[in-house]
Formats: sequence, structure tokens, C-alpha cells
Amino acid sequence: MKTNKKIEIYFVLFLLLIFLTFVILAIGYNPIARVVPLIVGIPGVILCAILLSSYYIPAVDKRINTLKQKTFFEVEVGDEKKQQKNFKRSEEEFKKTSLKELNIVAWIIGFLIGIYILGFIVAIPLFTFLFLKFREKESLRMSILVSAGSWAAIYIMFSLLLKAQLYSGLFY
Amino acid sequence: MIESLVVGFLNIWIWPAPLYMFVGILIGLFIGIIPSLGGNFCLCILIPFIFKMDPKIALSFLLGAHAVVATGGSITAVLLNTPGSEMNAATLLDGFPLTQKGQGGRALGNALTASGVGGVLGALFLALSLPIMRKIVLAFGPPEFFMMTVFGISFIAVVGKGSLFKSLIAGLLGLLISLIGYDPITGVVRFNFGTMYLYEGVNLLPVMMGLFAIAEMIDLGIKGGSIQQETALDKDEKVGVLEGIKDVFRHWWLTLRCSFLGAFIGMVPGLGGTIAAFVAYGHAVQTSKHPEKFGTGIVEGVIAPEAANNAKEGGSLIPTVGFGIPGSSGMAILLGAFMIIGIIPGPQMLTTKLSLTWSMVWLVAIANVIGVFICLLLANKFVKIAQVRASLLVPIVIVLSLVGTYAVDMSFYGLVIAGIFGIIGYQMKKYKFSRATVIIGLVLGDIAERNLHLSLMLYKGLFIIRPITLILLAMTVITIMLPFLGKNKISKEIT
Repeated sequence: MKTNKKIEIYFVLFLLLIFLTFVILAIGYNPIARVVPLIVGIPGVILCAILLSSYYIPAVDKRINTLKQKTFFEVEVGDEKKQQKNFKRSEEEFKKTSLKELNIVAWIIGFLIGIYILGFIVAIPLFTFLFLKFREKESLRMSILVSAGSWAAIYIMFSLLLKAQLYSGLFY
Repeated sequence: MIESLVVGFLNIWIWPAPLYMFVGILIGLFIGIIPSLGGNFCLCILIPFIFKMDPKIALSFLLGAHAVVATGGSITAVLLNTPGSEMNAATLLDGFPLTQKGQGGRALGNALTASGVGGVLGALFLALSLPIMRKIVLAFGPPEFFMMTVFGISFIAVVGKGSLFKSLIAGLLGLLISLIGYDPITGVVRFNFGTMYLYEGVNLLPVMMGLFAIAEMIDLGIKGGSIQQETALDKDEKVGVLEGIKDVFRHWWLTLRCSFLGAFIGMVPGLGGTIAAFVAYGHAVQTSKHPEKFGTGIVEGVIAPEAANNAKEGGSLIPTVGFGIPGSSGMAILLGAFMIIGIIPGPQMLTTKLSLTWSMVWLVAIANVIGVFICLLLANKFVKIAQVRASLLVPIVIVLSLVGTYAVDMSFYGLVIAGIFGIIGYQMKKYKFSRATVIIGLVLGDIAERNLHLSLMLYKGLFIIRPITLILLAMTVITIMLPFLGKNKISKEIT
């Protein structure tokens, strides 16, 4: 099985887990409060289970593929063409993309941690500068310019114009 | 009626509403022109700014921007073969070949003028349908609203493209998320996982920001490079613009038909501008005397989808305003925005608040005219903005999305939710799960549950046999069965 497919299976498993958790929790509620969660959750569990089985049982996969939604045109836009190409890529390319995925997710998590500790006003220029300088390998001048510009824009728009109180972190 | 129409028109000119509409139009065009950032993203970015605004000003700001996103998107679709949003995908089929033939200016004139005319006709469709809609809406009770929400959910799950299973799973996920928080009847807190933040349920904005804005930036960051490749532009782009404007009026009957087609598709909950544009394109091919020329660079191939995708804005406001049921994912977000500024969609929008509804009609029409005028003047400059490097765009958009989320939600948990849904949204995009369905489910879930319980309390199980409910149930069943019927038809044709 292709690695890309394995990741898709993990994602469907994750969705199945969400539906299962909601169904199990719903059973504990009173009869009125649990009606709709069960109406929504149980079909979710069933659909995820069928989709999951389709990755292993060719007959189910074939059956599911007959349920492709009607489209008016089989026109593929550029993005989808790229996605189709992605399926054909080699394992090596896949690993590269996976690393890139982990990398950008790590940057976002890092930014969230930065906001939590330092607050928006410090975390924004810091994140923008580090992201541009070290991830995107932009020049020092461009990194400083964009990070200062984005900080100024956010500060003026949200703090000065909208008077929104931005989170100031653990230390302020 | 006439009084409301006039009051609605005058309201949009009360200062500073026109200024906000103009700013909204500029932002809408700017976002529309940047590939992959469509109408949903535009609304997500603007919503944080409206929470302290007067409802009428906020409406000018949001509708001004949302009405012109597709107009901006047509510029890059025509000149650079890169649709600004999914809605513009059909435009590039003939728009870019026209540019390749040295008629880029003409194609641009076609696309922009058709967008403007389509937008105005879509608003006209909304205006004409208001009196009929009033009677329909007043005949709706909890059972009908419940069945309508079920119909809306079933429609988007079936008509979108890709796997039916995946669309249904995505829709159910959205519905499930909408059930987090207080149960509307018993007051029991459900699925809060021990956190106070989830007592009131999951806020729509962090989920939207995550699923669309952050997920899109993750995708862009991974692809790297620039957002679009540099393409040599024809030096004589401006020459044919006037010719392109004239083309729309030469093909006035096609423009009119496709505009009403787009508005009608927009009116049906769950369908969107992309489908409207492709259906209109197909209609243009079917009714043309020279269908073989489509795809090689023909003006009708640009006019039809552009008229339809802008006209759909007017049409999709109908179920959003009248029923509280979004006509598209963009309208689902707009519905959320309406609630933030205290506009509650429903029958009152057609009775006591009719002038506000008329203001919306006027806004959509006027924004389209102004948007097209600006585009025709500044088309070349917009193209330069579309060439912003992804490396610069990604951190800026991530920052803006998270600050915006916090400004509305005022909780760090909101940022965490946006981050989580960013990752989920990226995976959904990668494995072709419909993200729009999650939003529709999330918006409709609460309405569906409340009306289901009310229906059961008022009519017990008999609510299902009320005439309109039965019709809607039949429509839902037919909609769900469509893929099976279509498949059987194809199988028969093959055999």
C-alpha cells in the first residue's frame, strides 16, 4: 500500500474516532439531549467504517467508486491536476512533502506557543521575521521590512482603530 | 413595498456606509485576484472587523466585498490561466485561449462586464422574488424549517464533486460539531470535554479560519515558490477591452439567460458559484451555433460563466435571508456574520425588516457596478498584486487569521481550535473531503436540532406528513438518489 494511502487511512481513522467518541458520550446524556447526536454520530461511524474497509476490500472500494457524485463537467483545474500528479509521485518525493507538512505545522504550533507565552504584540513580529528569514530564506532587509510592516498593520488596525484588546501573554 | 425599497436604497448612502462599501469592494477585489483566496476567505478576513460596527455599516462592508470577489478572480483566470477562486475555474476554459490569441483585453472586457451585468441581474432576481418569498416563508413552521435544513445538507453532499461518502462524512462532522454546548431544549451541556469554553458551543469563526485560511496557507507554504508563475502579458491588453464590453451587449440574450440561471442555482441551498458557472458554460455550449469552437477561445465561453457566478450572489441571498439557510458556503459564513452583528435571518426580514433586505439587494447591485468599473481601470495593477510571493503571503495571512480569530473570540482556546481545524482542513483538502460541507453542517446543525425538537413537541411524529414537509422530504430523497439514477443511466448508455 502506498504511503500516501496510509496517511489517508490514518485520517479516516481519526474521523472515525471522533464520531465514536461523540456517540459513546451521547449515550450518557438524557433521552432528549442524545437523540440528535446519535442520529448524526451513528451514520458517521458507519460511513467511516465503510470508507475504511474500502481501502482493504476491493469489492467495497469498487462499490464506493460507483457512488462518485455527479459532476456537470469533468474539467480539472490546475490545483487538482497537481493533486493527481501527487498520487503518482515517488516515495522520496512523498517523504519530502511530508517533512514540509510537518515543518509548516510545527511553525504554526510554534507561533501559537509564542502567542501564549509572549502575547500577540511580541509574537507577531518574531514569528514573521523568523519564518521569512529561516524557513523562506528571505533577505534580512525583506524579513525586517515585512515583519515590521505586518506588526504595524495589526497594531494600527486592531489595537488603535478597533480598540480590540489583544492577548498580552503570560508575563504582561 | 415601494417605501421599503426607497428606504433600503437611502440607508446604504448614510455616511460612513458608502465609505465602508468602497473599502469592502477594494478588499474583495484584492482577495479575489489572489489565487486560491476566494469569497469564503474574504469574509473570514473581514468578519473580525465588524463586531463593533453598526449593522448597516457592517452589511455595506461585507456585501460590498463579497459581491465582487468573483469579479477580481476573473482577471487572473483570463490573463494568467489561474482562477482567483473556484468560481472562476470555468472562465479560464475560453478566457486564457483568447489571451493566447492576443485578445486578452477583449476577454478581460468580456469577463468584467459580464460579471457586472450578472451581479445586477442577480440582485434584480432577488428583488423580483421577494414578494413570492414572503408568502413562502410565512407558510414555514418548525417542521418545514427542519426539513429544509435536511434538504440543504443533502444537496451539498450530492451535487458537489468527488466521493459521496467523503462529502457525507464531512457534513456529519460539521453537524456533530454544531451539537457541542448547551442542548437547546434540556439545557444539558454536551461534549464540552471538561472545558468552560465549549459551554456555548464551538464558535463558527475559528473553525472557518482553520478550515479555509490556515489550511490554504499550509498548502501554499508546502508548494512554495510564488503563488503563480510569471506569464508574459500582451502589451495590447487595453486595446480590446472596449470590444469586450460591447461583446456582452451583443450577446445580451446569453448574458440574461446565464444570469438568471446563476441566480436560480444560487437560490438552491448547498449549490454554489462553481456549479453555477459550469452549468452556464454548458448551457452556452448547448445553445451555441458553433459548439465546437468552445475551449479554443470564444467570447461566449467567458461571458456565460462570469455572468452566472456573479448573479448567484443575489440568488443565494434568498435562502440565507428568508430561511436562515445558506445558499452556499460563502453564504454560510455570511450567515454567521449576520448573527454577529445582530441580524437574525427569517420571516421578519421580509416583514418588519424589509428595508434592510432591500438594502442588501441594492448593495449587491451597486457593489458589482463599482467593482467592475474599478477593475476596468486598474486591471493591470491588480495582476501585479497577484504575483506576490507565497513566502511573503503565508506568514502574513496566518498572523491576520489568528489575530482576527482572537479579536472575535477573545479566548486562546479559539486560536487552538483554529490551529486544529487548519491541520484537519489541509488533510481534508488533500484527501478531497468537502470543507464547505463541514461549514454548512455546522451552521445548519443547530437550526435543525431546535426545529426537530419543536416539531416533535408540536406535532409529534405527524410533522412529517405536513404538505410542505412531505414535498421537501421527497425532494431530499430524490436529491440523495440522483447519483444512483445518474449512474444507472450511464451504465445503460454504455451497454
